[in-house]
Amino acid sequence: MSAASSARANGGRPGVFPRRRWDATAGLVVAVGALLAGWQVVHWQYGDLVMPSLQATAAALVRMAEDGTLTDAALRTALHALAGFVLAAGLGLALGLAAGAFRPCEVVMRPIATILLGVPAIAWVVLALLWFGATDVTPVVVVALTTIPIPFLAALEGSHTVDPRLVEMGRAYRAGRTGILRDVVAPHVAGHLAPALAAAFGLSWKVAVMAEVLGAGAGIGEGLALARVNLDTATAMAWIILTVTLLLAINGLVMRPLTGRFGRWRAPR
Amino acid sequence: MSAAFLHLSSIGHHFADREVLRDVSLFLTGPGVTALVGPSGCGKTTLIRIAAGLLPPATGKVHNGYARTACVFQEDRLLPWRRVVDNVAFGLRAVGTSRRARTRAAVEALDRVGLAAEDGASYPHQLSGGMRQRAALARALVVDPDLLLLDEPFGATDFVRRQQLLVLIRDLVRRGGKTVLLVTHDLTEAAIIADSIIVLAGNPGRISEVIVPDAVPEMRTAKGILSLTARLGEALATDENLVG
Repeated sequence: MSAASSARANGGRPGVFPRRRWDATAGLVVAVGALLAGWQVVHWQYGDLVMPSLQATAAALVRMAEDGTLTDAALRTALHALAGFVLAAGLGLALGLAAGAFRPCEVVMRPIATILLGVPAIAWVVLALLWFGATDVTPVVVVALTTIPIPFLAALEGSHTVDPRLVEMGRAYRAGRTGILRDVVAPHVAGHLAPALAAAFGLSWKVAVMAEVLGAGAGIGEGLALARVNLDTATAMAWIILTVTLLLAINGLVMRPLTGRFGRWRAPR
Repeated sequence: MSAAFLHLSSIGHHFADREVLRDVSLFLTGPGVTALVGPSGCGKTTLIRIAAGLLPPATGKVHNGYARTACVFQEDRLLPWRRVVDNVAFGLRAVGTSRRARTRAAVEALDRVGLAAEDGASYPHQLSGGMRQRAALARALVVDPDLLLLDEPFGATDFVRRQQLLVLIRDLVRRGGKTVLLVTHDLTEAAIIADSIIVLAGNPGRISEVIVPDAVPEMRTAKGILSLTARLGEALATDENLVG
């Protein structure tokens, strides 16, 4: 939301937490600068093994980019994260809507979702490695199992909170079942689902890297594991920077606009 | 159209253990405005939902012979995720009107209730409460209903707007031949606009009095409206005493 519209929404007065564009940009610059400065200080203090210099890390990044390992690994991890995420989103949404519509489904599935939510991602890695070995299937399954409760619970919550008065309005104007589903229920559920999916995607990305570190297929995580074996902190940092940058880029370029699209009708807060 | 009527016979209803309506019978035929007045909680809204076919009554029968019925609820009930113009066009989608024709009709209806095209392009949260209520009225007008059910539709509307909307509704009746059932707790509003006034009172709600003034609304003088309002006030006060 732009600064102007936020100011207009509360009558021109600054809010309790003023959110102006330059505030956010300045904040970002200061935050990244502080992190980099801290990094360099730790390097000077404790040496290359604990923390490589910024230059060494940059050099490692350039080397990885040049010999192609960076792109290969990034694509592989993206594939794992995306496939697992799509599986989780599709299944979670379908099951969540089913649970929202049929009480018996909810009674059975809600505790299952809660239990799944409680299983550590690392446990799924161990199981999936036993089931599928070090193949591409393993990280995908781990990502799917770890993230599925998020879209499930969001869809369930969304279908429970549909305003019955709007449904009645739909009936009064003869919208029919499909019309009410399309114009009343779906947009409401989508409003709940969009932020949940954004959160689930962030998690997918991190879980995919983690599964790869533990030996489940190639990708950024594999590179990280290799860097650990070689005691190559500069390369490890380069992988970490790559992971974070990609996650933020996808969030900013895909997820944020997507949730924004679903949230456009909301009153500014 | 002259044959169309709405008939509620011996309607009774209860929510859980609370009886809200008992033996209410009503016969409406157009053109004309029938106002339904009564204290809060006497079942006015329940009765209008039953009349709209949105709530099956526990006892009694509803016969609605009108081809097109439209409702304006106490709350605007606009879809927050649709632009106002699409909200207004909502009822036309069900009848299969093309998108272009829907939008044109919606803009026209918005104009009739005093909303501009820019207001139509907004989302509901960007409009004031009174504007949203007028949009809700436009949504009802757009389907060209022959029976219009209004449940306190002008609660958030300012005085001048309200007069304009009352004129608009009289116009619908006089020139459009519409039948209107208006629930209101504003006795003056009822005295200004209604051809006949039903007083609902008691707990559970029953019809305590039906008042058909001599003069049609267009011929009523300020003095006539005043005395009619006073008469309605008396009718309600008597009922309160009976219940108390």
